[in-house]
Amino acid sequence: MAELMYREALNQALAEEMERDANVFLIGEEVGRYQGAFKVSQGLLDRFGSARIIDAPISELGFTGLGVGAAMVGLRPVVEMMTWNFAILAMDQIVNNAAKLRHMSGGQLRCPIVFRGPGGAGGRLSSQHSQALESTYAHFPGLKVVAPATPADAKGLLKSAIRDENPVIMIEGERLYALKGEVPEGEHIVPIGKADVKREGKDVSIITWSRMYYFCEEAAKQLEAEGISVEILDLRTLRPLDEEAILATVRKTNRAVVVEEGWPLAGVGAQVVDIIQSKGFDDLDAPVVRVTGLDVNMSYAANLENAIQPDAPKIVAAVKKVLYREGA
Amino acid sequence: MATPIQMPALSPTMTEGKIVKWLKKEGDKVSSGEAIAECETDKSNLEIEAYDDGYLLKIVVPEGEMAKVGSPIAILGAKGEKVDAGGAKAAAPAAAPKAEAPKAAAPAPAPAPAAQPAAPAGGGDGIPVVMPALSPTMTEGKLVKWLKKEGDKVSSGQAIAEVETDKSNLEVEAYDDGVLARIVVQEGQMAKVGAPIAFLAGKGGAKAAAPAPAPSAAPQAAAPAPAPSAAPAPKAAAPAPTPGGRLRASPLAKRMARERGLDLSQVRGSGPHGRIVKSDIEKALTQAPAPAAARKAPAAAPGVRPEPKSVPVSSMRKVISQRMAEVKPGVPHFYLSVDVEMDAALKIREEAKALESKVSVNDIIVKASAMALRRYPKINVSLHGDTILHFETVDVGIAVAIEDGLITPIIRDADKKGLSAISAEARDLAERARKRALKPDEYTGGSLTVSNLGMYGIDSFIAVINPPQAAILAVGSVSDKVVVRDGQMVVRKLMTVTLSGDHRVIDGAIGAEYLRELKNLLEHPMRLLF
Repeated sequence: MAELMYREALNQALAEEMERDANVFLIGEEVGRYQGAFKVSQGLLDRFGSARIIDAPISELGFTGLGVGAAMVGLRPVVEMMTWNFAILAMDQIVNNAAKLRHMSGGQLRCPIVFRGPGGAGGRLSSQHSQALESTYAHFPGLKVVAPATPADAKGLLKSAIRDENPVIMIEGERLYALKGEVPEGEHIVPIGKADVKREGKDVSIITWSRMYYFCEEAAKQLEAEGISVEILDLRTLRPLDEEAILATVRKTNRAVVVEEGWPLAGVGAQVVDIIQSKGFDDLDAPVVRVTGLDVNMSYAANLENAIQPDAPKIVAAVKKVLYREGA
Repeated sequence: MATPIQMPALSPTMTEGKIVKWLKKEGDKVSSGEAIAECETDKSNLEIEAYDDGYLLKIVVPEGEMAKVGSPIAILGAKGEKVDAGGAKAAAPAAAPKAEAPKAAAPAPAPAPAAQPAAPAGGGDGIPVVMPALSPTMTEGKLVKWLKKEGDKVSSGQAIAEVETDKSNLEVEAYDDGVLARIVVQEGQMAKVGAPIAFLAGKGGAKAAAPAPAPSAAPQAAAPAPAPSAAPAPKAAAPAPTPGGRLRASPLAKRMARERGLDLSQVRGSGPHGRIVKSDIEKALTQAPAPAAARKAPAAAPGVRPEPKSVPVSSMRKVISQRMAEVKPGVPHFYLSVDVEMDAALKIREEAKALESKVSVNDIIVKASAMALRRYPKINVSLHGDTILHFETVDVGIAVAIEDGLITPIIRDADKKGLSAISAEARDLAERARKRALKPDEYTGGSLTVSNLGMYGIDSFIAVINPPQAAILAVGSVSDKVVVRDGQMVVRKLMTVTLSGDHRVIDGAIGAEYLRELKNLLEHPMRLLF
């Protein structure tokens, strides 16, 4: 199996889907000649031409609306946001149009569109460029939200997203683009709505997604050295949530820690806790603990930026808390 | 020049104190003798004074934090003087001799309830009402009854709950006005000293609506407060579920118990606040011979020996067992016994009865032991580290057996009181001890304890010293015995008393002199009048 960077896996998925279906096109700022702000669309302009790899001006609301209109009439657009922070300008098209067209038209219109781009803290980009906005989009009915952690999942989920008949939000980890991993060649599909047990364990479940998965792995290794066996469930899709996988891991370990990069209030993690307590209450041996970003705007200073985000020590502490081993 | 203000020793036993509140802020001018902070010691809340004039340059120990006696809590100096970050620590040793506060000499037995500590980590929603330390030995208390319910208005000084300590049942007062926003510790549950038992919403009740800290998180987070600086181990001390109280068990543990027919009240929880978790159930299942056996002990079938019944130790028994285990190997005891002829003393009792004054043998012994103490003050001492405290007053404890154990209320100034006063006081104290209604200052302190098992027909016995006292008198029954007087065998009413002394501070000869005096007083009770 080839080892690819996260950005290469996305590029491969785009290329394969554009090969497979002539209705698929990519639009966004600098996706063409510059080959993508994060080089996801490298080589695609030469390969598919400027009619399908479209450089848009700085006009998020405009080119997103163009994508929504195209989807309404049968094309399958992929709209690249330079970052999800900028997509806030296009919220009206995403939330009021894409998410609701099928409902508002009584099922007569479909909107098979993918909105994708990087989210989360990027490394000293400060508060307007470092937001983990997944809970914002996961809030709206009519949208699907995926957030892959590994290159393989990035490829598989993007292919599923492009083939989906509904609008899909794909939030990529801004700091994951250069991360390498094995990626199956050719037809590799990861179904939307299916979580993945990335690490098997028996004492406690950590439920997470995207970049936070790597901190969880680091924490799990430390905890393993202390004799604590950790299971890591990577949600991969945040809407719809894989309730069965969440409940299955809690049934197995009876204790859970939910880790997310975003803010604590109304986070996706809060929804996961709700699922656990309302449907898995009798399997719980301790209250579920959440690890989230701090409830503040992201700092520019590197030390503060790190302090604001979850990390392995915070996750280790949370696991010990949920195992009643604090101070042990 | 900048000098540190140090944590003073505000009680004889204090090793560290908590800054409850700063009464001055950085930059404020302070004068010598002015109170600058409020400090919670092991016994009560007291003010810390400045010993110099100057400006409060830096607060080293913030509110809610502990500081060792002698360590710097703030830096005093000239206006605008710079103090570097390490200045506090660097300056500490230089001024060490100043640490001794003049108040140190006053033994402060009154264990005033701990005033509000720092807001618990569980959330800043309202003012915490904490489990006060209602006796010097109390580490936790059981909430017997809430006198207010959530939503009720409370005023400062108003009793809001009744608490069972290791010694008695006492009321917990509110120290603020407000609304009882949330009850954290339910009736029947235990709480560590210093842990919040409820939260008040401040005046106006605006905060009452704020979401209270998650129930599971709040008590846990606040638990470290009471213990000194040692690492808190709340789970180790997890109390067993109290009969009638709320039983804490995880949902999983409850389900497992239900499915396996296990009675949860028989399982000891290892989680926070005694919460029963999966591993406790698994342990219980491996220990129990059959689930049915653990459920409810039915009448034993013929030929089957019933299992012993396990009952969790009471707060009082726990303290007694701890203290006795500490004092017996820790304090080198010596024992002296003497037979006392009680004929004359008993005659006094008969005469008192004729005067319709109830005086017991024990009252006479208390009076005599107190007068003997006054005459032999070397017995009236207590060892505290490298210091011997010589008490100025003679306060005699009387051991009272109650349902859960033993308590020793004190008759203050027993040497100066008449027999009928001692008698009335002893009866009142004993009765309230049995009802667990004694106040802390009624059983704290004391010079010597009189432990009398005569009424049970015990001829003589040896008692264990009740720390921090240095002696205890074990009194046996009065019985007719044949003795030789002037070469003749005569019958006398004899009573054996045994003095147990702390050999670190009392020598055998001193103890013997004391006993001789006691014997003399009892055999010639007229001397009790002089």
